Amino acid sequence: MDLVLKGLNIKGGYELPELYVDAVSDVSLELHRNEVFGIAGESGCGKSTLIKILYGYVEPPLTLKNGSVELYTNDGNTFNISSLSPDELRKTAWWRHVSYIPQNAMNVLNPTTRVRNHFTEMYTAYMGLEKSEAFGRAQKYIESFGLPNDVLAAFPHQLSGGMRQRVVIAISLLLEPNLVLADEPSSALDVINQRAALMFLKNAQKMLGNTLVLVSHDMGIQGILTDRMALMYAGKLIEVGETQAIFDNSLHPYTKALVKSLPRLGDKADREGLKGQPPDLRQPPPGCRFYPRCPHSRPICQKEEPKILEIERDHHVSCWLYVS
Amino acid sequence: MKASNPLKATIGVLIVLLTFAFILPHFAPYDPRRWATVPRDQPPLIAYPFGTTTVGQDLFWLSSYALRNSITLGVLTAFVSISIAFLLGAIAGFTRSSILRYTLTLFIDSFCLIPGLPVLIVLAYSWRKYLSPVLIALILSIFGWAWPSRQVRSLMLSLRERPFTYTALLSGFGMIRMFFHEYLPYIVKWLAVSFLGLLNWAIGMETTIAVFGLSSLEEATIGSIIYWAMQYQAILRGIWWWLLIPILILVLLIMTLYELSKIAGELIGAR
Amino acid sequence: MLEAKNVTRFFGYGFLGRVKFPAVDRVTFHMENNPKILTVAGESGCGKTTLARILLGFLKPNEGTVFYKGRSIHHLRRKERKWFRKEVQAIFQDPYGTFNPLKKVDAYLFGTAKNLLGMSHEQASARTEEVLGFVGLFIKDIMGKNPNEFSGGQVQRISIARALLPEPRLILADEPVSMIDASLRMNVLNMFKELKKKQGISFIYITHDLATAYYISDEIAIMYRGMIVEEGPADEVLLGQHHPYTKALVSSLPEPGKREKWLKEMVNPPGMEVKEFLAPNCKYADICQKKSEKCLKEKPAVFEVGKVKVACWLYE
Repeated sequence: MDLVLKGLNIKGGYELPELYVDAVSDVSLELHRNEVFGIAGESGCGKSTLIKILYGYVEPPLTLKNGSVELYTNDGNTFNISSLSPDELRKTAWWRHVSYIPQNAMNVLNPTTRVRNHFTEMYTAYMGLEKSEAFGRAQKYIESFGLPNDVLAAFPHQLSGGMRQRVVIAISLLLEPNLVLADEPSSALDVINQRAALMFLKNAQKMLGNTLVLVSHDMGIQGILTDRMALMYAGKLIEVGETQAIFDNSLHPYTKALVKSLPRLGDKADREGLKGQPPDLRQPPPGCRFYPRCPHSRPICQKEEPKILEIERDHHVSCWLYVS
Repeated sequence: MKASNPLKATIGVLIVLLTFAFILPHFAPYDPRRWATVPRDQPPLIAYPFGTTTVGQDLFWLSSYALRNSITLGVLTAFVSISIAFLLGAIAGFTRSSILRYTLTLFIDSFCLIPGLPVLIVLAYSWRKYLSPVLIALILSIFGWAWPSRQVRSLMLSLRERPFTYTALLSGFGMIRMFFHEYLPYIVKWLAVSFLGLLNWAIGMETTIAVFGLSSLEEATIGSIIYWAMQYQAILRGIWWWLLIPILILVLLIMTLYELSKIAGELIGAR
Repeated sequence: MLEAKNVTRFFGYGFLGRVKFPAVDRVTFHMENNPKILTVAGESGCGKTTLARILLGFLKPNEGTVFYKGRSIHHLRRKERKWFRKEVQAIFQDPYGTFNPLKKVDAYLFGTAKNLLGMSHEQASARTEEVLGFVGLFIKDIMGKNPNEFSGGQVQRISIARALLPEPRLILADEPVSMIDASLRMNVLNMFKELKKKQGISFIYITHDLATAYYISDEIAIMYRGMIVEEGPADEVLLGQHHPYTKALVSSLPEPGKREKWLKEMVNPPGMEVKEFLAPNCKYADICQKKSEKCLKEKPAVFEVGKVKVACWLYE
């Protein structure tokens, strides 16, 4: 089957003492095999929350109010992620079929043990190998990624941030999961290190043929790495489609403004930023959430939320401009 | 508000303890420290709510005096310690001169490492003829200031590097004005929690050395009551109240102060 | 207007700070009186923040001098220091760190007016209202509020307003937009361009983001491990890419349309070894793709290629 993940009408947010923050509202998406799928958006758009929900890492105050997430593995199994607890997922799906690279992942390595222990642990725990065998496998694995051998013997603090990031990526791919969720895998890194880490990730994806979901606010990275992408704004999915189409033929006013505002080397033309800021998700407004900042708004935008519609092949948008 | 119930309970107990320590002594019908004022070894009865000691003291009134002394001693220690800690820590954190900074830091760290209790015991023993609550407080302060001073130094160092320090400098504010307007709110936060912590520590320390007999034996403190109770082998002779009462009061006091410092930390750090 | 000559600042580490390495290494550049935007670009650890602190007078260089309008800024008398503060201001990266979260933001605005300009409360109020207007804010929305009552973009604008208060000639902006959403960055950057045009204010824009640097700069200096490796007009530096490091930086910029090349080319990310700072040869030689014998032995001299100055043996 070509589908790897199916999310339907996902609605989730943060339950705080006096209020509920509506972080992700009515998001549906489908992920295919062997693709790089980007989720883009700016602060408060809900992309990190969505990733956590897709992974099944839902712990209070994060709650899933509605919707379902289903994972379809290569060997025909189905995991209903939204209905399984983190403990159950840990035993069944996590690492084996889906792995998650959190933000600032380069800091998740245990500072008191050598890097190789993370690898050998994975082998002994999940594949039942003996420690000596595991060590040999880890060596080969590291080499296959083009990482230097002495990385395994080092302590995390002896490696640069970029190297640590690549190590964490390698660990997440060890059991060859069908789906890899990466949340801002390179935002803490400098430009050259960022390139190395992302090249690493993309090449691994090509090699293993898995599905990579790349969450990043950096549109440049989205443009370079992803095949398809989705844009989120204030918890809603506002545009989904092939990356090339989204850049060349942006449909949603937000997407258009965002793409136009990006500075490009060699182009000194004047650019404009957006006015205003995203709405407060503790009290989300009725109607389209982009309404207050939209230059093309109509009366209906303030009252009702637009549904997501396919405008051209594999290019969906949620905007009243495209509803006749 | 969620914190209000533990807060109310803590404040309630605190008020009871403070009343017991500071208001009640004025009503004592006799000087509770003097021996042979009441029948000996009486268990807790209506007449003697906490019982009496083997040397003929009313434990109820004695405890109230003792608590007052213990708390006063603790407050004095905390006050002196914090003052020294603040002075040295602030200089160590603020100064631009690396020699001064290095020497002071070395000085502070050394005091942190010197084992306090043995030295305090030796000092208290050497001056045992002159021990009064005030002297004990001063002796305790010799070590009490060290760790808080390290905290002040770190606090100062980190505040100095915060971007808003530079903004204030760019706005034309001088160092002194910056100290009082920018840093003081943070310092007060730390002070409140530290003070209560030091108070607790001092009371505990005094009790510790008192149990060795190294406290003011004429002026009663909670620790000295325990000392005398042990001297007269109260437990073995079945005079359990003489030991139990001061211990209960001590535990109650320390727990209350701890809760208070926790709450203070939450309230002030709640921004 | 601003001249830095051989500015060097060492940091020590190890026991008693014995081992010293130059965080800023013989940096020399100058800015003339006509309003310009100069970018100092480099990745983290290149020394740009340390350089900023030195240029603002917060840190003294171990060697070299910084002159502002002819006076050495680290040897100013009291009155001159006040004058310097009026002329040179700064904006920082983290909007919420710029102001003390326990205080009201207007304290800084009024403070600047009263301390540097000696204004009375009414005058300060009027001037505050004026500068807030430059950044598109109203004084009634700002008064009496703490920093966390505003969005990041708004706080940054308040920070800019505060910097504009004493009518400065030069503003140092240290990563002013890197913590702001991409869609809002242009607002701030366009503001800089306008301030340069309308009020004749020069900017030193410190960043690691070459795309925004290209958008607003007239001139750019690329820093690597404390040294300026290339400097000149922005177009020629970023499009000419003479120094191998400049080339590596520019080619690593993720821009749609560069896919194939971006994903294929070999990249050598710089490490964070202190030995790179201490190298007696070219600091970039370790990972340079175009190094030669000479690069491993001697520190490169500065050569002129057109209007650009490059510190690289390739251009001898």
